[in-house]
Amino acid sequence: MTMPASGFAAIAPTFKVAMLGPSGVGKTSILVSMLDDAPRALAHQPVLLRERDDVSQLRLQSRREQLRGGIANHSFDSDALPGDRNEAYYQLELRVHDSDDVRINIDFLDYPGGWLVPSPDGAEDHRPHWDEVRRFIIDADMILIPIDAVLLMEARTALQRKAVVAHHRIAAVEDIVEEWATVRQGTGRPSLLVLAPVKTETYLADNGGLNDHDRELQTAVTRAYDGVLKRFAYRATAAETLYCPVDTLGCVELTRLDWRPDGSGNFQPRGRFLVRPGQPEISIRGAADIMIAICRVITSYTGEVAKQQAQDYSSRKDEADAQHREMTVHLVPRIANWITGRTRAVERDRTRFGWQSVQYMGYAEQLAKAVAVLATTKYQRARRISVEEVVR
Amino acid sequence: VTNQDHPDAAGTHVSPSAYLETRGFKQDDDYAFLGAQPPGDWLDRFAGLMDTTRPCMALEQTSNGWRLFVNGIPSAKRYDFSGRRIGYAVILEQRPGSGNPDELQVGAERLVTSLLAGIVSPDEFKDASDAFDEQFSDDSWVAGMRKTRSAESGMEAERKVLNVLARLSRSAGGQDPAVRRVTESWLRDAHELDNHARFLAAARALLTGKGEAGDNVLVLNLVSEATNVPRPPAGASVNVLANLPPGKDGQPRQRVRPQRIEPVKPVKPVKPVPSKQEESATAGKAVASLSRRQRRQLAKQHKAERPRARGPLAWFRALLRRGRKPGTPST
Repeated sequence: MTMPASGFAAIAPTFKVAMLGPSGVGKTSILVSMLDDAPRALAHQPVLLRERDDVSQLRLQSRREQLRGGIANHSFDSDALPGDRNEAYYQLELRVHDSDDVRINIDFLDYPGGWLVPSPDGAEDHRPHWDEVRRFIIDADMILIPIDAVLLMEARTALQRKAVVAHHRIAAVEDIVEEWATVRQGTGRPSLLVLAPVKTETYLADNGGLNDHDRELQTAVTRAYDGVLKRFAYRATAAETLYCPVDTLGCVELTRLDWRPDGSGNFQPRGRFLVRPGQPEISIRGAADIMIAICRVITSYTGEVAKQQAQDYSSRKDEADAQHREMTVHLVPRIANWITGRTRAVERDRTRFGWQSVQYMGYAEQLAKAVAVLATTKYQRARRISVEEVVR
Repeated sequence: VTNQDHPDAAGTHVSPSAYLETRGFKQDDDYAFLGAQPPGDWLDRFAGLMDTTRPCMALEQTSNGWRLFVNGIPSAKRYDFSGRRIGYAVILEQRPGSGNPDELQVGAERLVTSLLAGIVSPDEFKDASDAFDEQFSDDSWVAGMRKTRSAESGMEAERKVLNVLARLSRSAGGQDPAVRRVTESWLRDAHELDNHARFLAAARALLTGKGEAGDNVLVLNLVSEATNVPRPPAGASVNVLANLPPGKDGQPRQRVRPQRIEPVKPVKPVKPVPSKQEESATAGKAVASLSRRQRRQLAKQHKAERPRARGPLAWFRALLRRGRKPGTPST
């Protein structure tokens, strides 16, 4: 007897990870950093992350090279990072070591940030695409919010602070997070919200940086996203919230931030960066924590489901055993059942349920081992945000 | 969003033949078509095979002309709020009544040539970049046009794109009289100069109206195997150049070996299967036409071929199952 091909896939449908942020905030950079750093981050973990198809592989390779292309002549130039015009799916597969059967699909979605808030007088050409993207976000298991750390930390005046809120489209993010949390209530699926400040090289000292403003950065992030955290905490009490600063380049230092007025009473801020002398290579930090958090949530949830499935099959096998015993106690019904073929049907059920119970128990054990190892891995930078603290 | 038509000289309404997609400086002014949205969804077939952050194109022969999408021409001097270089994407449509077909064809050909040269060496985009920048350098105009949808604004954007094509056409060479349609379908590497001539010949055939409806000439940047390219219908051809990104960590770029793309086989007409009623009616007619002797022989033969009558065991099992004698009509 062979296991149906869709056996494991049936209990582990594709997990979705969505990004939530406006144009130019660093969605693509953080996604590329996470996926690029995944082999290193998961090197000592019992899981492997691979692209599921050629398209995802080529797309990722292309973005990676664009990011690397930005570092030239001792400065970082975002010239090399063209903005996206369409949504882009990255389809990956998480495999648990020593098992070819245990494969979990993870889909990441990136999209042009301008779609997040349609301008009131703007054309709505992208509306059908945004509807699809929005459905993905609401249906996602994990939401990642990239935040421009430079703007948060460098805003000094009231106008600049106002520009930071407008730049990050925090009101729109709040609305979507609340809707997401509401929809996820009672689904039994995992929910993970990650606040990920990017461009943190200048404020953290653990990756070659000169200053350490770790606590100030966290305070600035939680203060700016207080509304998002509260709305999420009220709706999804069992969900996990993580704060995780990420160096997408790791080798640069902020030299200047221009608050350029755009003529409509707002600013279009732009940071200028220089590559640190003696550190010309990209050194991603923090992205691995997000990958590990995602793997933890996914393996833990899938392991639980596999265990439940194994128990379910086990109890169905017990029922079939009892039925079989009952059918074979007395001679006449035994002959009658044999003649009518009922005996064979029950025997078939006993074998099938027994076998499936063993299979799923095997999956659950493999996943439990992976969860145990992942749980002992310490985060480099990430910190859990306590729901009680947020609500209080 | 519907396409905006505008009246031509004769007073009939025609939609623009040229559309431009770009963005403005401000965060709000993300990529959008200017003035009018191009009609249809013909690009959806290739959407998953194109990464719009890198050069790619699609040229398709339609029943009465052609349509072309060229993406990835970088601006030479325009940047957005975060310092990212702004890009241009163009859609051209040639159909009866859409302006000067020769001008459009020469401009389109020049655009395709620039794209191929730019893929191999980004400096080669310079002419095209300058031509677009000349027309679309006014950021407030771009910002306004990306929000506007009207016949006039569509026409205005079209005029500017046609100006770009006219400027590019000035540097074009003479017409090639011996243009022939490329009938075979293939996938080749966009970074090998030898493939450019073949590709341009295929593109030129479509642009000069020598192609068949359904022919496609494409530059795709998320494809490395012919099996991932949509197969052309029988009789049509598809010629693809794969523009792959550089290799990982400074490794050389993956080379695409030349591959044939098999067209979809023509579907044989399926013989309609008669329904059970039709079958029994035909059989009834056939039996009615037989003589009495033939009918008797047929019945004998039928009886001999029938499966053997079931024994007492089968009778007993059926009895237990149904609680009735086999052969008795069910209620």
